[in-house]
Amino acid sequence: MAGGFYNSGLVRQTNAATLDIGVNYAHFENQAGGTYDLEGDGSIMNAPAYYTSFNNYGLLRKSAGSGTSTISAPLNNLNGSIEVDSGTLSLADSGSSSNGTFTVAAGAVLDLTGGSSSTWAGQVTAVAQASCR
Amino acid sequence: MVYLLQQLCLLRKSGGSGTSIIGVPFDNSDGTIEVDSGTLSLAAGGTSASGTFNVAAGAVLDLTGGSSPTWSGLVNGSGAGTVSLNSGTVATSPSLTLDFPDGLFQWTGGWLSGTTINSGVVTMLARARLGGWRVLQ
Repeated sequence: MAGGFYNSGLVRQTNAATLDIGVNYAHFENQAGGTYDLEGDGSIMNAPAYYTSFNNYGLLRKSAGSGTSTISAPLNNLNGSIEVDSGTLSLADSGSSSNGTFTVAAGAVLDLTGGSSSTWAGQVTAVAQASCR
Repeated sequence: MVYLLQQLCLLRKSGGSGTSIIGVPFDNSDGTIEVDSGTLSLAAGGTSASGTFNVAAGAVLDLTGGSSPTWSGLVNGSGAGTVSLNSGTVATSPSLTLDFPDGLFQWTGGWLSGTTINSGVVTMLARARLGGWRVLQ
């Protein structure tokens, strides 16, 4: 097992807290069964590191906050689920993803690129009152 | 080198509303650390393997006090207090598993560097910084 943070439980990122994947080759793995919950408008960043990633096999959720949470580290969604209950979740630093389920509440937004250039393959399914762009 | 070695024993701060500082390297080997009041700061690093942290409401166990300890194995605990990572670096080598109930482990600063596994609940309240295995080389 390579170095990094492997979550099979619950990580709560509250209010304006940030996760900084701040060293080259560091990565966060949200494993199947794990939940990473953005409970506010905080972000996930990697500056100024390289070869970092956030790999989602479980549930990545923005459960609170009316503003934008930006993931500015490469996000690789690997059969994981992404849920946005409020505000905007922006996947703004590319990544290589395959398959996924997006659940977006009324008035919330999942921004798939944030202006970046990501690669997706497989099948993605949007559930319920989605507003994807 | 002077250090404090705790094996399968209990280290307890049972009184005092202020901060008690462990100012020598602290090596916890499957021991229990209990904080009933105030803050207990493990402020001089050390190399530890597994442990149980029991922290009462309003009390704090400061895992680093700004130092850079190495932890491995499994750490868990109980109580309505706080196990705090707010500064310094916890090197997790070869790996450390966190298994805490909701609200107990609070990450408000500092680094986790190495391989960290969470099977419980981790709460981030400020800037949490994650390092990789190359930091340890």
